[in-house]
Amino acid sequence: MPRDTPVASRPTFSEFRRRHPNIVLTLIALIVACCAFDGFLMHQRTLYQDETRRLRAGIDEAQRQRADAIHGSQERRKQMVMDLVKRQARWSNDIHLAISVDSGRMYLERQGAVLREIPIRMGPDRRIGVAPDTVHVSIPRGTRTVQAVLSDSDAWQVPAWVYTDRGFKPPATAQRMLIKALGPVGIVLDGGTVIYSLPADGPLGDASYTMPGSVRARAEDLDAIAPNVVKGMVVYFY
Amino acid sequence: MNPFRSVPRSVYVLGGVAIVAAAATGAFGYSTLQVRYARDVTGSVLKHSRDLLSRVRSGAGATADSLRKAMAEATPGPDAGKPYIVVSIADRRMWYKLGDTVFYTTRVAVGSGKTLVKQVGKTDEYKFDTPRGRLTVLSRDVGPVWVPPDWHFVEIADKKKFTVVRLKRGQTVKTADGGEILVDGNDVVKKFADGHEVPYESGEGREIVDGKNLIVPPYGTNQRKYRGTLGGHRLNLGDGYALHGTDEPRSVGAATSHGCVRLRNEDIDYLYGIVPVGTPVYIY
Repeated sequence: MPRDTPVASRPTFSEFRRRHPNIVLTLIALIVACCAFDGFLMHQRTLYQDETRRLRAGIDEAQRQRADAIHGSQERRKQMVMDLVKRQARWSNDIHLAISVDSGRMYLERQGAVLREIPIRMGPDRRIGVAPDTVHVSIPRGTRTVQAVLSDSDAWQVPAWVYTDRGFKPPATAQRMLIKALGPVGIVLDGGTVIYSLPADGPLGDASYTMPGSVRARAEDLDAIAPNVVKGMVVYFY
Repeated sequence: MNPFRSVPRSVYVLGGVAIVAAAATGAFGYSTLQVRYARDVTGSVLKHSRDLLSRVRSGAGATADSLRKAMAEATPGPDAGKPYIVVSIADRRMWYKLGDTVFYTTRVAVGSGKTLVKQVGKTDEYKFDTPRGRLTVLSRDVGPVWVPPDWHFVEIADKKKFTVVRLKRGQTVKTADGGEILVDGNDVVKKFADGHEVPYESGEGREIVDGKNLIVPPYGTNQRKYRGTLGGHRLNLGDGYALHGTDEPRSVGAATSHGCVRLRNEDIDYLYGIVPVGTPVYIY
């Protein structure tokens, strides 16, 4: 009777290692290399994340500085433009009007000479009406040009928003064309600004109301300067 | 023998660990690459932001530079810092000032604005307005003599219904009494029938009238020079216009002149002492 063939058992790790040292070493080396590389990647990741945080802080700072620079330069530019307008007004060779908005004065000037100083009331900046029919009227700055000089026999169309601002219902277009709407003397500038004197009646005939974005002066002052004001004359606002 | 049984289980475990380690390392490496990419993108955004900031700053600087240049070009004119005279036609007042400082102010008479036909039957007119604009004191006179322009005689003739006769040198005008009116030297004289000559008087209100003829003396004759009419001093502005005194002080403050600016004698005397030639005069 043949004896049973003995069943081969798994070799032990040591036996396998002795028989196949390269395989074991390779596996171990692979594991060690992966761990080492993971450590390296962890380090790099940390560096990248720190740098990203720093860069983001830098972006915020650059954007903040850009916003500040834009705002600051706009403010400085605005002031410089006003200074320039004032200087150009002062030394203009042609006779002109110059309006100092903040001090409430209008000057008839030429070549640095002040011919007449006129106290004025400046109409405010205002938004009138309800969206979407809102009108934004602002105080002019810079230069405007005279379009017309109106006497007490000339008519002028009062804008509808003036009625709205006064709390009245605006009449039809034809009914807004009024003689002496700007008082005995009115000066119409481009852009819709007017220099007017108090009319006896009409929507502007209220001493407590000054048309937004416009200039009100005494009739005797406008009467005195009117013969010198011609179409095309420059009016400086600063 | 089953080849899989020739490998110990521990080696299988080791192999599995190696595979998992490699896969984990690969995934971790991919994730790290993403973090690096985010860093690179953030770096680009920062560079872009700094470029924008730099552009805003240089733009602001360029704007400021161009505004400064414009301001430098808006320079004072040659009259900057000089005193000047302002005349308001509406207010009938004048000021002598420098900047905001008023050295002197007083009432004046200005042009009446009236018109006068130059010649009967024609449409040409004289207009007696004080001119608006910028003039200059060109010269100054003491005891100025007024040489009346033609309009003075036309005005008188128009009022009194006379006929204007413009006398020329070498010309004679026969008078009703047999005499002659002619120019002898610097005088307009009346030559009587017996040959003797008497020069006419000169002055406002003493114009030469013969019957219905008003005789206009030629320029250069003494009869065309009126003394005292313009007061004690005159500041000439050119084109026949001037600031001057008057022998009619009550007219000051009204629109009564023929275009000149008329002051009381004491005012023009004072201004003569302080206003130099070259002073700008702005009339509005």
